[in-house]
Amino acid sequence: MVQDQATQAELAKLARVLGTTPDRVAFAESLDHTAIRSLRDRVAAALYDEHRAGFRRIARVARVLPTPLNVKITMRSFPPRLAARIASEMAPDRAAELANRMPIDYLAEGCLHLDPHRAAPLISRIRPDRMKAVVTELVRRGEYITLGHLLDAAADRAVRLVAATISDDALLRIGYYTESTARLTQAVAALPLQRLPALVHHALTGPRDLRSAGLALIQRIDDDNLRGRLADYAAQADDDTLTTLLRTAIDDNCVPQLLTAVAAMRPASQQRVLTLPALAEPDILSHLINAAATHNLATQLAPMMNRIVNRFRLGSTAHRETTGPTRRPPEQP
Amino acid sequence: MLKCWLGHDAQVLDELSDPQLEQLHAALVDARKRQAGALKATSLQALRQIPTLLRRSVDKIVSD
Repeated sequence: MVQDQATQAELAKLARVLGTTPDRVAFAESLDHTAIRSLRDRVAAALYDEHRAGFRRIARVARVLPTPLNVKITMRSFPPRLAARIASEMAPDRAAELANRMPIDYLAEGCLHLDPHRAAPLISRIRPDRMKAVVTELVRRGEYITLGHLLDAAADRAVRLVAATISDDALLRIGYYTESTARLTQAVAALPLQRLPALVHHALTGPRDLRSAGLALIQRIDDDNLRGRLADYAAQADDDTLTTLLRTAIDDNCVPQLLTAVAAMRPASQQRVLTLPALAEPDILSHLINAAATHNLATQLAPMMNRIVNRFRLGSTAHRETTGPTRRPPEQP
Repeated sequence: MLKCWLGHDAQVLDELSDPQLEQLHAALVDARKRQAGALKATSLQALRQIPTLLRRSVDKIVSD
C-alpha cells in the first residue's frame, strides 16, 4: 500500500512505542495519520500508566537518597528505559540534577523511552552543553524519531541549540518526525541565513528519502515568508534536479507538498519552474492536476495550473505545426 | 479488552477490522510483558544496591 509521508512517519512512531518493528504495525496501515497518532497516544498512555505506581515508588526513594548514591544505583541497576520512566515521575529539578551527572550515552539511550509530553519540564532543565552532547549522540545513532519528539518538547533555547548543532541532513530527517509545526518552523528559522540555500541544496541533491523529507519540511513550515524563501532557493536548481524532485514527489505520494512549495514561490521562481520540459508529459500533468483538486489547492494554484496547461497545449500545437497535421484514423463503420 | 486498556472512548479502534484488532492486541500484550518483566527485574536489583543502613527506610517508602 502506498502511504503518504505523514502516515509512514506515524507508523514508525507507533512501532517505536510498542517496542516492535514497522512490519508488526502493518495492521494500522489502513488508518490515516491522525488516527494512527491517536492510537499511538493511547498505547503510550496505557503502557505508561500500567506500572506508574511502581515507578512513583522508586521515584520517592530517589527523593530521600543523596544525589551521588542515586546516580550510582541508577547506573548499576536501571537500564535507561526504566530510568527514563522513573525520571518522569520525579520532580523535574531533581531529575535534571541526576541527568546532568549521567554519562551521555546513558542519557541518549534514556531519551529513546521518554514520553516527550511528560518529560518536557525535565528536558528544559538539562544543561545546554549536556543537551547538545545528547543530541549529537542521537544524531550519530540515527535516532531521528526520538530527536523529533525532543524537538517537540524542547524549550525555545533548546530548539535554537539543536538547530545550530545538527547537520542539514539531520535537520531534514528530524523534521520528518517532528509533530509540532511551530517547533519545526522555529528550528529552521533559527538557522543562519546562509545555511538555508545549503539546506535546500542538500535536500534536492540527496537520496530519495531526503528529497521527500525536504518537501515535507517546506509544506509543514508555518511561516509563509520562510517557506517562500526555501521554495525560491529550490527553484534555482537545474532542470535535471527539479525533474528528479518532481518524479520523487509523484513516486512518494507527496505531490501536494510539492505544489504547496511551488505556490509559495515568487512569480519569477514559478515561471522558472514552469519551463521544466517534464511538465509537458501528460502523466505528470495529470498527477499535478489531480493532486491540486484532491487537496484543495486548485484555487490557490489555478493561475499556475492554467499556465502549465496552456503551455502544454501550445507545445502540442507547435509540435503539430512542425510535424504536420495529425492524421485521424479512419472511422470504424 | 482493547477498550479496557486504551479507553472506552478510543474511537480509532472502531476503524479497525477484527484481524487488525487481533494484531494490535498481540503487539500490546508483548509490549506489556516486556515492560513488566524489565520493571520487576530491575526493581529488585536496585534495592540490593541500597546500603543496608538505608534499606529499612527505603523498604518503608516502597511499601507505603
